[in-house]
Amino acid sequence: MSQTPPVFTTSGFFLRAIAVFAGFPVLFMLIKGVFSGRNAYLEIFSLITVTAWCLVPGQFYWFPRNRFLSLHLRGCMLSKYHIVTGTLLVLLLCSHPFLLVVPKLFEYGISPREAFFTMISTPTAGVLSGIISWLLLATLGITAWFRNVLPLKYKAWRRMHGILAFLVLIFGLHHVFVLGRHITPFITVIFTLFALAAAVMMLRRWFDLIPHAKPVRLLPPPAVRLLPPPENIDRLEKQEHRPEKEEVENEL
Amino acid sequence: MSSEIKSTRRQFLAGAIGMTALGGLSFSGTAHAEAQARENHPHIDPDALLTKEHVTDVLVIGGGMAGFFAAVKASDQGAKVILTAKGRLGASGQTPWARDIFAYYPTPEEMPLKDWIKAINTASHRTSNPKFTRQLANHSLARVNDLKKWGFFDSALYSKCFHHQLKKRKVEICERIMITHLIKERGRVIGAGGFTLDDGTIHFFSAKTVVLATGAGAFKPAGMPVCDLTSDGAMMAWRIGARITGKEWNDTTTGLLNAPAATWQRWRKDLARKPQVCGTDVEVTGELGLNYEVWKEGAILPGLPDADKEHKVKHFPRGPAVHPATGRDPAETKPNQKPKVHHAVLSPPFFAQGPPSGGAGAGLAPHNSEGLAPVDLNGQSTISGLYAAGDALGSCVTGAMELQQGASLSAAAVQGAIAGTAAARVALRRKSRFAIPPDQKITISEEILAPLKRGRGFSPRWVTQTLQGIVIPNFILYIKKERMLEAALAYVEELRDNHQPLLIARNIHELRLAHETGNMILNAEMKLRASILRRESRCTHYRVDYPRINEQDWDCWINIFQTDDGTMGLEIQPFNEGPAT
Amino acid sequence: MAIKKISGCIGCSECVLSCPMDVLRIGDNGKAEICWPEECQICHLCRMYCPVDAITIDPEKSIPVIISWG
Ligand SMILES: Cc1cc2nc3c(=O)[nH]c(=O)nc-3n(C[C@H](O)[C@H](O)[C@H](O)COP(=O)(O)OP(=O)(O)OC[C@H]3O[C@@H](n4cnc5c(N)ncnc54)[C@H](O)[C@@H]3O)c2cc1C
Ligand code: SF4
Ligand code: SF4
Repeated sequence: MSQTPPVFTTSGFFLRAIAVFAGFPVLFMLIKGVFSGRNAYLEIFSLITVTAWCLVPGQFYWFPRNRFLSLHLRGCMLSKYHIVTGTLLVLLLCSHPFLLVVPKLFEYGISPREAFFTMISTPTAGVLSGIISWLLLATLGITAWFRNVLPLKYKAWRRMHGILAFLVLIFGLHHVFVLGRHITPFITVIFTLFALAAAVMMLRRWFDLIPHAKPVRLLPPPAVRLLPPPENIDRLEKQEHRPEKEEVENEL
Repeated sequence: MSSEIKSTRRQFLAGAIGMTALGGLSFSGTAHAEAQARENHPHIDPDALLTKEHVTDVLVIGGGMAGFFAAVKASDQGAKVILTAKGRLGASGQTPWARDIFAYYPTPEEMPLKDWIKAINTASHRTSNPKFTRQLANHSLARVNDLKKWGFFDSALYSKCFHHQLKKRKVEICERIMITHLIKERGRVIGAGGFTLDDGTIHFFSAKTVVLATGAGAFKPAGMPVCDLTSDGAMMAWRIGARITGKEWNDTTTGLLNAPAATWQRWRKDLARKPQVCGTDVEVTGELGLNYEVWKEGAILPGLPDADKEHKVKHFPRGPAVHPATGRDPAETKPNQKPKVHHAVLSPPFFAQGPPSGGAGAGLAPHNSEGLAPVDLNGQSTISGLYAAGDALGSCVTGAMELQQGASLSAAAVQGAIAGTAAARVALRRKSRFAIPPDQKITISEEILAPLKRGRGFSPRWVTQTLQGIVIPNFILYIKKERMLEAALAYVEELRDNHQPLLIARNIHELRLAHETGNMILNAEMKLRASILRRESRCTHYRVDYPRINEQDWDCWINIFQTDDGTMGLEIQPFNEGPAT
Repeated sequence: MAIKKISGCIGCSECVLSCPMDVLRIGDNGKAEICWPEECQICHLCRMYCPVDAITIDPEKSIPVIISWG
């Protein structure tokens, strides 16, 4: 262990995070053999939906003011990730019930509309939790995009955002466990762990349990590192020692 | 199912297939004994099953095109109608697969009606019944227009359209009920009995008239989606005294050798598109299919065409297919020009068309050539109050072969509508109703549940596969000779006498299989007996020992009936003595 | 092996109703189950009626087939 601070190129960090959240279950999905006789559209559709869902727990880690991460990433970068992936997820997951019936357009069998109607009018637990999480997710997306117009203080909004996200996770998990095409016991465990960790993360933040100062560096430095130009070192150091006033205020 | 039983069946199957290949030399004796030793432990208690009764004016049995139209038109006459089907309305039988429906347009561009009827009669070597052919031409456009109005042509799945129309007319729809018995009292049909596939409830239908639209039947062949049809209607009608015709004819469709049972892959081009209308186009497609070449050459030669491209023997002249009803341009509605199907990405993977295999429709006859022998153009059978329509009626619209694209679906619609109307009129005229006698109900319930109650016996799957091994080989089913037919008949009689009475079932699914197996055995016997009797070759019936057409002696249909002692009787009905108007 | 797999089933019973061969049933968990694949005639009707494309079907039959020649 040395004193050199770790360097996370921002994109490298992002890729690693995706690898953890999305790659793992998708990998297992592939090993289990998704590509087994269904048409290409459905396979690709599955892959995208599963990936999107796997990134959901990640959102809890990429919330803009995660102390641990903002060590390595500037807060604004983190919030950018959160917003970009979040928007993508909400769009993908909200449209997946519609994308699912698209193949019906090409077969002259039941029409996509009929298929969709049959689907949402099936009163089974998995469908219900799916509908509930869809509604929650849609609310989550809308309230996030239109935060500025909402008559809510930032703190209140953030609490609502967190609660909504947590509910999406719970109902979504139920939906995924009951209806997921690629669910295996292993993936169930992985998802549960991700979700638990996300929940702990959020609760800790709510109850202000994340240490404010002097976070511990968990990762060893890389063997070789590129020396940043002097002004950058300056900035890094400055950032590390700067008391983030606004942030402390906003902490719940 | 335990693995033990499975292996028994596998062993036997190896024997059955070997037998097919070797020319019926041996029968797997050990498997026979093992199967006989099988005990039956039903998963349900047959005595706990319920009984339900329905009363109606017209009972329609069958949920295909014929049954649908019969119910629609009977209810339009003001009769109370119940429709029952073994599967789902519009999603069972052969109707779900038919995509071309024929309509005769009385326009100058079409073949003149007289010429068309004549062309069919000539091409079918006079086996067609010109009166039914004319009836089809006269009514087809009206039925197609009905269907157009009801949105039939908008989807490749017909269930919703059919359900919608029947619900609108308040027809009671009883799906997933297998009818096993027609009930006759004082020479008149008075109802039917059967059981539901879901919970085994026994249903009795008391009706003033019955329209039988149960479609055709086959030996659960590999290669055509007709395995739910086992000639149930014709067989139960035969048991109460109706006459059955056309059993010697054969459907000669081929399958795909690299996956013979892959019906969807075989018919993919058709199944993935919407239905469409087609006009007159009389075409003789290989009467015996490839069966004759294969038999003669002794093998499938590399030069044989793909399953899709069967021989076209003759082509009768036809006018351009102009369809005022669809309003589409002629090129688009040209019958043989199939619309583009999206399958590259959006349907499951499939393999290329490969070499053909035989017997895709084993046991099936060309549409409308087999079934209840009609006594008039309403589809009235030889039993009062019992009508038949569609594939269940031996109307011989195009004779003992398929000559007109789309004619069979159209004939089902036309005949269904006519039979439904006639049945409703008779039912409404009849003041009295005969109740089903209680002792009959008890006997029928006993007969239905017998396979569940039997302590030991043979599984329906084993008996079915044994039967398939006997009757499906090319040299029995298509390329016939007396000695071989007699030999097969001996096997079938053995199944009939010593195996059918011992069929067992452990659940309702197997109960259905048991009854279907019984019907298939009876159907096999009919096919063999009729084939032995017809000592000539004509259309889809080929006899090695009588390879010529014999117009002098055999310009006639063969009808099968039950004699007084319960055995099978055969009679000959000359072509010119067909049902009169 | 005929009808092969059902995954992602929402339990609407469309396939159970539309299978002409009575291969499928709704199981105790409220989802469609392949009960008697031996009877499957590989017709894809269940798949076409399934609103969520949950059904995968193989071109091969699960039991040996008997054909006229081949
Ligand atoms: C692959 C394929 C493609 C075809 N393509 C065409 C085409 O393009 N054009 C054309 O004209 N024809 C075509 N045909 C033929 C056409 O489908 C039939 O001739 C027509 O549908 C017959 O209709 P039906 O109503 O008489 O009988 P079916 O449609 O066979 O209906 C029989 C009904 O009876 C029910 N039933 C059977 N037994 C019982 C019982 N014991 N109890 C209760 N109900 C029972 C069944 O459940 C079913 O609902 C095709 C057939 C096949 C197999
Ligand atoms: S493919 Fe056809 S026979 Fe097989 S399960 Fe589906 S509907 Fe039933
Ligand atoms: S149709 Fe599809 S979703 Fe509905 S019960 Fe069957 S497999 Fe499940």
